[in-house]
Amino acid sequence: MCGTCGCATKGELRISDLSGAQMRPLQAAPRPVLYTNPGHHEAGPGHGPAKGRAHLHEPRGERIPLEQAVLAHNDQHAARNRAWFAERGVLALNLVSSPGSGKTTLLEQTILRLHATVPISVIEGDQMTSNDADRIRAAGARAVQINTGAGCHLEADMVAQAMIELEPQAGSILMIENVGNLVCPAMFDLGERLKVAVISTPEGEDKPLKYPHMFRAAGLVLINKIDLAPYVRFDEVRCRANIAEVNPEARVFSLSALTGEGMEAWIDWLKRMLPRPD
Amino acid sequence: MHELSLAGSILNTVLQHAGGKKISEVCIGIGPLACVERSSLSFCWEAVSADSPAAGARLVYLAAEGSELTIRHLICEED
Repeated sequence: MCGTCGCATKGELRISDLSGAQMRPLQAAPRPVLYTNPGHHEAGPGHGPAKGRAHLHEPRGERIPLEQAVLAHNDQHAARNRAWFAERGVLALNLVSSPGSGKTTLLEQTILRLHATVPISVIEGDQMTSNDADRIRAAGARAVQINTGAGCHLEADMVAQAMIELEPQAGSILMIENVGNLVCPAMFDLGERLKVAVISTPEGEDKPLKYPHMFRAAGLVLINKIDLAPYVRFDEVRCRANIAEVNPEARVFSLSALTGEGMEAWIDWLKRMLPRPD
Repeated sequence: MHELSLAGSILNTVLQHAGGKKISEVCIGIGPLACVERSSLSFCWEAVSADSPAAGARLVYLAAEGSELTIRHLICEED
């Protein structure tokens, strides 16, 4: 456990079954095996580079160049997920936002409008409880809950495990509702087609400037709870300008999942994003 | 907040390449858009590397471009 922020160790990860009746520990995919290299000096005097890797000896010790991405392990899993989605024709979206922006309500309303024509399945990420997955099942879609314990984001291998349970069918949409957090999920590729950032009007129009990494990583931004804009003095024009400042490429829709205002544009966008069957 | 995951990834990678030798330094290339807090990463590194051949190893940061976050090299103690 991390003393700074309380991030979990993998042992506290849990995943639900499809019915939500049981939670079991989620075994993170095995990390690279440690201590497998017996030491290149065993190759004898004048040792050639072990495994083809050059290394230098300097006064401070042996310098081993690596040039390897810190998140290479997660990225490998993400690439595998992405290939799997592409092969099956599954549209996978990674929903990111602060807690309470209305991601789950948005999903419920999306399921009600679309599920009859396009099957939707959902991976729910939260630190605790299976409340969100229960809501998704009540709305009629298949859902698996992942509890990250004290963890602050989903990682690609967790999604891979949830997919075994969910088995999203060809031509369907897989919504991955990340842990509510505008910081950490920006860094972790899950294999999704793109990230959808949700910002709600009570949060204020400057969220994109305060959390630029997340909004820069998003391909689509949804401004939710637009029905509340007059009451919380939310300036939509300024919010859109702020989004454009950190990410000029992002598409932006304003909507209210609760009242249904603006939902058509989102639903149409989802339909357009669906992979076309061959 | 995600620095613990990153420290864990760094540890796994460097242990794989160190061949069981004691590690004294790990050099991380880190861009301004990498979204990583150095002090936080160093703190987590200390926690995850304890009781491993990398215990006590220094994390050294090199300024890099954009969102780069890579392990540039590591230094092991000679036999």
